[in-house]
Amino acid sequence: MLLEKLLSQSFTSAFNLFNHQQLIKPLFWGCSKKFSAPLLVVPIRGSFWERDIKGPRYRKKTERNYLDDMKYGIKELKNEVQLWKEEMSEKFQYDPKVYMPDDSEIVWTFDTKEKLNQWVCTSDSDNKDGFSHCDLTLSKNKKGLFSGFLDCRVPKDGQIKESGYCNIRCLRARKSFKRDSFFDWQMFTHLILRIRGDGRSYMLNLTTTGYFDVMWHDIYNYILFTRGGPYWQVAKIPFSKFFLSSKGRIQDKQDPIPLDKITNIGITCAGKTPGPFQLEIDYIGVHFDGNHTEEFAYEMYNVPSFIVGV
Amino acid sequence: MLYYSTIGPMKSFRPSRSIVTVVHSLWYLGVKRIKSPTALSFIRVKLNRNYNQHYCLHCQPSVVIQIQNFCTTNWVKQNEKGGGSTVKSLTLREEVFQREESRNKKTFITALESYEKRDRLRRGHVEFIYSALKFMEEFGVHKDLAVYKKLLEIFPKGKFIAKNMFQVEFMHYPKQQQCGIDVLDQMESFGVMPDSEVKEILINTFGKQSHVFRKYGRMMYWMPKFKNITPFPLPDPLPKDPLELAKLALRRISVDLQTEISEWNAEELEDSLDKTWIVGSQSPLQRQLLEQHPDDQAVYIEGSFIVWLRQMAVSYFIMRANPKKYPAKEEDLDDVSNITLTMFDHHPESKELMLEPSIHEQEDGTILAMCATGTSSRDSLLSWIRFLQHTNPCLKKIPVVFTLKSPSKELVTVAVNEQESSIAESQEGCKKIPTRDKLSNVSSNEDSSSRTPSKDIADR
Repeated sequence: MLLEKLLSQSFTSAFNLFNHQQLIKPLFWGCSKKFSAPLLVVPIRGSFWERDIKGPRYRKKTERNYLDDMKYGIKELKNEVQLWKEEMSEKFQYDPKVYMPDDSEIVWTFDTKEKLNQWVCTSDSDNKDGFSHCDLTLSKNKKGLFSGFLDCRVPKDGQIKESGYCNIRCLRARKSFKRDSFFDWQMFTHLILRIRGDGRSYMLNLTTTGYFDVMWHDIYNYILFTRGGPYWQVAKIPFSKFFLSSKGRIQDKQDPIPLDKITNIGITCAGKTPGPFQLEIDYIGVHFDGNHTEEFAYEMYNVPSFIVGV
Repeated sequence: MLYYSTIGPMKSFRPSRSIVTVVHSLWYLGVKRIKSPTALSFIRVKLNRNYNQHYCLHCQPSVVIQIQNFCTTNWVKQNEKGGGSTVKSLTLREEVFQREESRNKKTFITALESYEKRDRLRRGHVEFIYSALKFMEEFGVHKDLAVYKKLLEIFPKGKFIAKNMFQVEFMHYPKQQQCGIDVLDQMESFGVMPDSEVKEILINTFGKQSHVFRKYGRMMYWMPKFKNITPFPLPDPLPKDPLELAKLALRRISVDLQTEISEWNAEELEDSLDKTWIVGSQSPLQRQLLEQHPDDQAVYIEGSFIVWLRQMAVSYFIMRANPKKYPAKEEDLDDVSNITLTMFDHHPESKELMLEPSIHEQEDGTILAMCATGTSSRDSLLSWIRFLQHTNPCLKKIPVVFTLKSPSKELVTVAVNEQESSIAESQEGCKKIPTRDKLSNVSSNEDSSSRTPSKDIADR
């Protein structure tokens, strides 16, 4: 399965491999006897291996001040031990939550500044990939306000084809001592959001980052339609409708979303409608509908081998 | 960079980085085969030498400039009939489109046909298709399936069909296939769904096993699934009349199904300054709420807010009252400490009964009416209030407060159809927002650009 995914990711994403042909070629030539000189002077971006989850352009800072690190670590230790204590007591108490049909749980609210700090706001201008900008702020009636300006102009650097996105994403679920963890929503069938939008449609992203680099960018998406206007609306979206994409491309080989492996949730504003946008969010939660039995909304055809995912 | 603009959307070209990329880009374009004009001889000489030497070199500016020159001039032989002799003149591919005076579907197709007629052998068709793709939005044909078909027809038939599995696997004619994929990709991003005729064209051009056809397969799997999922459907295409758009917008944002959309003309009022149309929405329930509103408390006119109908933004205003405060009475049903005994004639205290708050009573205010006007000016809103007084006599007593921070004069619907703006985006360009400037141009108003609608909601 891994290999299939690997192939599908590297090939289907608009055939990046062939887009990068001029970069890959030196690699092959370097192997031949005729050109034995070290030819690789350009970074190979079309290769299978990925350097960092943050993308090929990201470089970790090499200069580190160990004294500062230690100071920071000791400061953090107090909170982490506290968190660990809670985890342990929860473990020994062993009193898991039980959900009945039609139960909901609100996972995120946006009524204080501290809660907004759990969200990361990014747009293409942050990476110099475009000119949009956005913000997640506290509105006057204590709700989260995701607003900004979507700009679809493409910077003329000869590399970027399309531009214009604004995004919020929550911090990754974690355990004490900064260990990675997951949201476990296996008990639930729907995602519910209470929102007030502006008539645009937004993209909901449920990230299921895996261990290997091919699974780093696994994101399950669905569209969040907003009515617009002064009335609040509750959107209730079945998890079964979310479809798998990676690096912005729908994948050929789909799978139902693994609800115990969700690492982040995000909302994106993008598309070919430049202009101001705003989305007011009251809460984001999960809902258990006993009558919802659908596992995955998209049929899976049997297709000839070597066609799909390549 | 000019280099990029001609070649089209191949994002990995980076000519200024190193000579390797440059040499390979040229190799990729098949430079060796092109008999280039004299300006390019420099490059040709370099190419004909041993590649090894150039890989370690860093690109010199002069080289880059020359390559740019080369790439901007994809020469096409053009036969111009003049005085009986055929003059070979060199024309830019893009010029075919640039010289069209009016920009519409007809002229676009004329440009495509002129290429087909001129070059029977379809030389440089990939470059031509890329430049055509770039001009589609400008000609307003970017959502026209028939034009895309016409564009795909430019590919010669038969030649690119793979004959064995190795050719399939190694992407037979990669540049042409990539071009085909990019055409389909543009269709996808503009929401144009291909049909079976596109399928026929692709099979005849690239074959059933080609990557282009796979892309078609993916589109035909996913696009019909997402075509009609919106719970707030709109007519396609949207009406161009701002009045009709305003009606659509108000109908969409009114949650109450009993909402009546009424249309007035300010010319009917003697006192009005702005003679424009006004569209208002109010339901019987809202009328009732307004009637119950105490006379000593004000109602507020707020706006303008924006609602998007696909690519069109319509600004609207609301009439809002402060939220009603309901007594929060929490009763602990498990508390049995104080049960009154009715058999000894002790009647329990009557519990306060309360009607369920209506849908218009939102937590940040009661929405009493909504409107959109042709000019979005304060005077047109005043006319709206005057019209509302016919159906809501109580409005004559209730004080109405305008909370519009900037009196906007003309804020009509704005079609934000951003065209590709000027080149050379620097850090300064990052901060500049042309669309907003455009918006304020349309509204011809000094203040409106300083006031973003996001703030409006926040202030509410």
